[in-house]
Amino acid sequence: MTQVQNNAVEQDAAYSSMPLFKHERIWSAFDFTWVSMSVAIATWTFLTGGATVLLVGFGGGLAATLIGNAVGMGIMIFGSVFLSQRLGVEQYRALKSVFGAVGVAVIVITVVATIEMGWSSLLGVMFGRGVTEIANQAFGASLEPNGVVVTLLGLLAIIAAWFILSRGPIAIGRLNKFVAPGLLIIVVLMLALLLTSFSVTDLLDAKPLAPFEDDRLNFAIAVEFNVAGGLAWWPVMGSMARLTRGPRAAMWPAFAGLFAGTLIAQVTGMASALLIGNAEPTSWMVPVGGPIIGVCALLFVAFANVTSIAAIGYSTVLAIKQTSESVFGRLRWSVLCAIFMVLPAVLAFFPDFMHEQFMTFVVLSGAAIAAVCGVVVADYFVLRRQAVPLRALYATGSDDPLRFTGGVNIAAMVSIVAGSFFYLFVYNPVTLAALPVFELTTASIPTFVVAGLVYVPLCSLLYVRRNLGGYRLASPFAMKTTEG
Amino acid sequence: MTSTNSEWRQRLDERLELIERDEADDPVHAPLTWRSVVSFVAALTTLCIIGALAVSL
Repeated sequence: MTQVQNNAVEQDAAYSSMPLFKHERIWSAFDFTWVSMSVAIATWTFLTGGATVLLVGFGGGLAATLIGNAVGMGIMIFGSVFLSQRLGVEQYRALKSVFGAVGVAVIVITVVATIEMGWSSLLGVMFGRGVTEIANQAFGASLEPNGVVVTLLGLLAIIAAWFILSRGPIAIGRLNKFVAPGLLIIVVLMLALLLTSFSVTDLLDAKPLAPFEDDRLNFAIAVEFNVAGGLAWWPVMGSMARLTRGPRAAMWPAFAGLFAGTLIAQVTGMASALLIGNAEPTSWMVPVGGPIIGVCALLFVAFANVTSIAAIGYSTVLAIKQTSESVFGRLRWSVLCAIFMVLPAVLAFFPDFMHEQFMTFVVLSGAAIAAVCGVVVADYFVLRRQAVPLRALYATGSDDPLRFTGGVNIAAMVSIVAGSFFYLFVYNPVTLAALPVFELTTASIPTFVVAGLVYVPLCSLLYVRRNLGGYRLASPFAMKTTEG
Repeated sequence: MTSTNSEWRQRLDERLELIERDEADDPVHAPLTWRSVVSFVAALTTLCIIGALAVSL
């Protein structure tokens, strides 16, 4: 192979959506478990732990973490992992079979990009607060947690993340090889510091930080928040799962890795929030761990926020680039990455807003993703019976059997809107109005089911019966029944 | 991108042909079986029950 061809293949692997050869599916079940766990142990998990114990104590928080993540990650895995894994195709290319080429672009821009920009801005603010805390504790400064310095440092984190991101996935991968194990060590260290400074009884007796009057509602909201946390992995897991060789090598590791990583980091966040009153390690690492360990750990956590922004940005910018080729295809990668960073940079000017609205933001994101997953599962498992025509994912123009209506599967879009409205009917995270059933079923499970139930008859009526959407195409993989 | 659209399309076609040929010899694109679905959902349900028991105690 010539150098030019080699470069082209590298470019394809990094920025394109070619289907993978068998020998390119390089991840064993163990590899995928470790990768999933590495991405789960991220700095935002401290915040989700801290937000959980706003409403419930440690026992309730642990239960909400178990139930919420089991439900959320379960739905997310069915809605992302299997489709991409089977085809060996990047997630948003594979989703063309569900939403149509234009429909995927709409989902990416309205749902995925918005959510990931929100997370990026939050991580930027966390970086700003972390560094100001170091300055306060190490140099006796008195910088405000929502002051202009936090904004400036947040902007610095976003610029640094753009710099890493613009160098592509290899740079991000190299950094994450150090960051993920480092964070795991720090999380274990933090938990050990907390448990040596406080007793287990202190932890179990600690009261929730800001509960409502109704204990059942508190627990239900905590579970729903964790369901949304599990669903939040939807934008990235499919594309990673395509690197595994079978559905079982994708399903169990995706869940086990994410679940274990989330549990470890979230328990630490819950413990620190309950015992010290703040989930962010930046507020207590120096007093509890001492100046050397504390400052080193804080600097590492602050840096981990930057690499997390870059990792989020990579998957999202790649999705935007691939799904909106006609609009963004001509832009250079670094320019597209800069465009992605604009909204997080603007939001960095409102650090208190991002922190105060964190729970609402996560839950509303979960509402949209639960509905999307309902549609994906109904399409892939019910209507297509796991048989997706691989070649059709790359077809264009009049030859494309997945055209639907002008490139949009109207039935899918209507079902997502219907599912999302149903979510707000069951539970409104802004007003906190909830139906009694919310305490038993959460709002995400009914949303997932309703979106799927609306989708199947509507899609049958609009496309399947009219022989549109490629539902009757004989897939090259339809006859294979061997389990992976 | 270093390659043009036509070169990309050509590589894609070659790749798809090789994948389909490869698939006939040694299937890797296997669907999920009902047995796997049931065992996975059962594991998730068990976790939920453990969580519910933890909070009720």
